[in-house]
Amino acid sequence: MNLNLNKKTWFEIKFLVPLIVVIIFVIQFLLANVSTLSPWKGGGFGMFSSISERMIKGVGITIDGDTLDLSINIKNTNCSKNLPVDFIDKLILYPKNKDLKKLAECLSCERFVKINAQHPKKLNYTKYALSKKYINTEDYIVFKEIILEVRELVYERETNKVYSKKINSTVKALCD
Amino acid sequence: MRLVKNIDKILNQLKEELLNTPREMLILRLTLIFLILHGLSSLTSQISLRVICMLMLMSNKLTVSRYLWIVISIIIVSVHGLYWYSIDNHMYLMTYWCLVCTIAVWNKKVFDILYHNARILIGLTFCFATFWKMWSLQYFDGTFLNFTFLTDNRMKLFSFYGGGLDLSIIHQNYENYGLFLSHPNIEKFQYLISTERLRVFSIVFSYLTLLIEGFIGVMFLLKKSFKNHFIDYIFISFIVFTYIFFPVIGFGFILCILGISQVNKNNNNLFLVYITLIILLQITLIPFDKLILG
Repeated sequence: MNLNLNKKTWFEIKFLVPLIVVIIFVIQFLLANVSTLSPWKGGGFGMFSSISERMIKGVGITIDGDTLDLSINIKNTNCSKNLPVDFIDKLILYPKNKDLKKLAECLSCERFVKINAQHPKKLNYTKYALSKKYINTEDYIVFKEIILEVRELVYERETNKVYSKKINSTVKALCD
Repeated sequence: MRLVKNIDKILNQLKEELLNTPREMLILRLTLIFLILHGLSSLTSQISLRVICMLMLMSNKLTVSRYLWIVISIIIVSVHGLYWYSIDNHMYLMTYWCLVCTIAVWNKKVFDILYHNARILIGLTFCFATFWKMWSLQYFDGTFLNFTFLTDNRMKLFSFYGGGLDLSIIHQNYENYGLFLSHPNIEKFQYLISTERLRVFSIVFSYLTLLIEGFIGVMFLLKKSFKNHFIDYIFISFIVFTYIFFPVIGFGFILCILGISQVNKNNNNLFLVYITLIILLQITLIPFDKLILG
């Protein structure tokens, strides 16, 4: 199949879209290797090339100095209207410290309530969550400080151990 | 017997119809069907995209309408540009392909442009995916696939037959992994159970995948120099094998459209194989691992 084209349209027809593909590959490769973009996203070429399970770890520090685990959610917070709907998704896929700081500030001074969960292994655990249905309760807590970090899952093939490591800096926000 | 005859008659009519329709029209229509079924995740833009695509399917004139293809490209590029960090890889491929279709309908040699770009798109996509896997140490030493076999329930058949893991151990791994994910704040770490056989299997499988993907990528980029269609059948086998285990129909569908677009106009058999594959892709929704292993 030969494309006999004049020079004006030759580039556009033969190489415009392939050139866009190459540019996107270069950008994705740089962002995933130099910055914090998930290799699975931003172009898709890195899918199924590495483990990319990520999570946001959050703790709240009480006035008494206790550290309590948080369930991260921005729905129904006072600042949620100013943040995009997929803010948390973006933070996990392409975490930036300024966005994490924004999230920590968003959660600071908010009311949290205790939730108990039970895993199939009968391991009970407690977290503090923010939810509309709890807003009117008297039994809430406001943390003195919120500490957040985005973590990535690590699997050690030799020992079969699964753990998580921090992707970027730990971010803190105080409730004044 | 009569029923079989009738089915055979219908299939022959369909075959005739497909082969008599200009190839570029079929490719553009398949792309429009793909956009209707697997278009966009954003609700408002998806509705407008579907309406435009349906209108375009109704008449040949609208199918090749230059302005409507521009509208489609603008919608897709702007929505995907907005969510560039979260969309899947087939969404990117869809964007590239819509741009190709738009360029094609603005020129006289519609089929030639689709043909040329489809081949390069397949080649580049597979070459870049191979490069990335080679760059990733986790993939190269088998860690990634070992982990995937242990934690992804779509890969149960591989862990069972390839790795020699008991079903009870496979499920225990899922539970341990789920435990780690469900509350990572209190669980510092978890252990998975693997076997030496699965480690070796993961490495062999990693290199085999690299070899196949790399071969497809390079051969499609060089395809112009080859006359036989041996590489098409490897590409088709790749789609079949991959999408049985990872039923992302959207990705399989767009790969088939690219496959069809780079088939010579005189090669009817290969063209019909790709068409059949698009229909057969629907059966990948059957949970084979559950049927076999329970």
